[in-house]
Amino acid sequence: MARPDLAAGLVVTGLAAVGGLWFVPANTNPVATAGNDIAPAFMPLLCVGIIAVLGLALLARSVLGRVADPATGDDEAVGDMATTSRQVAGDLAVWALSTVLVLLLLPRVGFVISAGLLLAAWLAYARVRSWLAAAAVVAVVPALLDWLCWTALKVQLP
Amino acid sequence: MIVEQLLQGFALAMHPTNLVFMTIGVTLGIVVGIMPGLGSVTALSILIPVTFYMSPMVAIAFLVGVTKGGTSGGAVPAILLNAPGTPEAAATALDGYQLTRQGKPFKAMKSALYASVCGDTFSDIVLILVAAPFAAFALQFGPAEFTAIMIFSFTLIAGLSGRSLIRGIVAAVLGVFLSTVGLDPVDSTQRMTFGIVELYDGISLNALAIGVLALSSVIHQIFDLRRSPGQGGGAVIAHADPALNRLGAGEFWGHWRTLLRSALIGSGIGMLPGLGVSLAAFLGYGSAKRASRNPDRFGRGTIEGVMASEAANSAVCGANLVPTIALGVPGNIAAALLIGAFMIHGVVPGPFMMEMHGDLIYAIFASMLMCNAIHLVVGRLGIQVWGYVTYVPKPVILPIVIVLCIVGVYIPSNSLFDVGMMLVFAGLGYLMRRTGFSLVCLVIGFLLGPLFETSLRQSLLMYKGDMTILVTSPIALFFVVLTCYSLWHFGRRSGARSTGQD
Repeated sequence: MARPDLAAGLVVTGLAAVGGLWFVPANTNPVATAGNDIAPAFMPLLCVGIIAVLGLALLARSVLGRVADPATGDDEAVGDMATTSRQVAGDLAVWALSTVLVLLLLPRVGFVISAGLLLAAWLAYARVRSWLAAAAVVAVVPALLDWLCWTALKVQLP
Repeated sequence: MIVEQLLQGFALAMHPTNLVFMTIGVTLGIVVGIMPGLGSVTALSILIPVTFYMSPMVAIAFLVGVTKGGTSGGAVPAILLNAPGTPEAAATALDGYQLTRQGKPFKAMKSALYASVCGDTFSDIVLILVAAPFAAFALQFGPAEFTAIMIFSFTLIAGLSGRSLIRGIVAAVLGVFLSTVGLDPVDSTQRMTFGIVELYDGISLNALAIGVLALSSVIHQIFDLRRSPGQGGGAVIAHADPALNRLGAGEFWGHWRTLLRSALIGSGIGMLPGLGVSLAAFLGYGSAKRASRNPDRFGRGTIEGVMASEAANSAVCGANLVPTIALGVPGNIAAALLIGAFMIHGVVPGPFMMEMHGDLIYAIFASMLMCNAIHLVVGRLGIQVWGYVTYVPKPVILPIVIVLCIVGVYIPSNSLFDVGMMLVFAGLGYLMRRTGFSLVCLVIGFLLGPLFETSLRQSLLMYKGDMTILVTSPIALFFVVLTCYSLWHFGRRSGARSTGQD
């Protein structure tokens, strides 16, 4: 039961270490330029430091063998440990592919065709039963949104 | 004084454009709330960019309408399908669905609507009465006090809204970290911008909020649908007997104690950051059951149970704007998004808001009260229609929401970079959902990050790096003590649970 904490602790601590030792110092001015003010890097480094300490706390808790706390509030973002890490990685790969395709297609073929293809792909992925409904959605929704944005807001979608 | 300002607010809010957009907002909120898995947060996230083209008052009134409609809309699928459209409607399903099985779906929906409007109105009155004195008191706060309040808010929200205190704080601090991307607020040097011009103003709030809250929720549901298809389907409401579905005024107002109790509970919870609408609904339901002479009827189909839950969850809507308006600290995620909307329209929430934008605030208060009346009319007129919205299957709706999110981010900025950021944040949000890191904490950390950084830097400058000001100022000390108590309380509770489960 301590494995989720262990994995999360390792990832969080690792990312915080990379952030604190390289990412923030390399991309932020470490010295204040105005009088006695605080350096611009102060706040990002403070955040990274706190995250590193909390990551270590997660690691310590996993080593001590404590389970992660159960849900205590109404946050809908409660972790779903029933889904395996392999499934989550697969889901993220699908999402990354979708993201890349959208970003490649939008500037090249425009919103209506990109959104149509995106809708078709996700409707098929979500296993829509009625192909007639799916075809109607693919044909109507992108064109309708494009028309609405231009007519009502004078925004030209890509 | 308050009455006079409120009357002036009504004069401003009575504008036909305002009325039209409030009606549209309430209707959209109800429709989105009805669709399981979407809810008012998704609706707010997508619709905030649309408000760029509205005046601040119309925009906020429209979004308030969406929130109110979305909160009560979740009750419809809870009652008809036993599938709450929003988490806060889960308690409504306990008795609401039983009423549907008894052939009284319309009676249940009517009692939910009326109770929701009553709770909401009560909560708005509390907001109107409390916000101004609270903000006046908050004017005494300096940077040290604000720093202490921010730290306390992060702790409280992290402790209450996530599965783990540590993970909640990590998410909040990550939000603060993301808020530091862009130009430094004091000397304007670049921070983690990689020379990308679009990042000079920081990460777009729309991209982050829509990606993390709305889009990640949608892809989460699509992936779940893929693994377990067959969800969705409509309710059977066509043949409900009108005689069974009549709800008389006497029958409804006979439960006025339940309404008042739930409204008080909801308002109290709404004023405390992080406690959440679902908690209010279940506490309202539980207290009504405990106070009832016939507690056995609860869970078997009593309108009192539906009313208790709906009055409590709707009473959170207005009250959670008390800390938002007085301190700039959001009471929940909907209030956090409203803070974003305020800021987009040039209104910075916090104690100076009442002084600098008093007319606007009272016009918004008036709009909130008018929204309740509109909610009552729209909800009542549409009660025959809402049930049919539940027929739309989730696999059709969810991909459409993906496209709506893309449009929602593109509209205000005309930037494909922001669309890309949103898609990346959706992936991050999905990963955080799966691993139990609170998205609420991330977004609130991101929203409060600039205020936190400013107040912390001002404190360090004013007191030459001496942070003992946090324990020498009485107000700051009060919040430091509360923070320590929260840490101890949440740590002890999770420790006790861990031991119990071991």
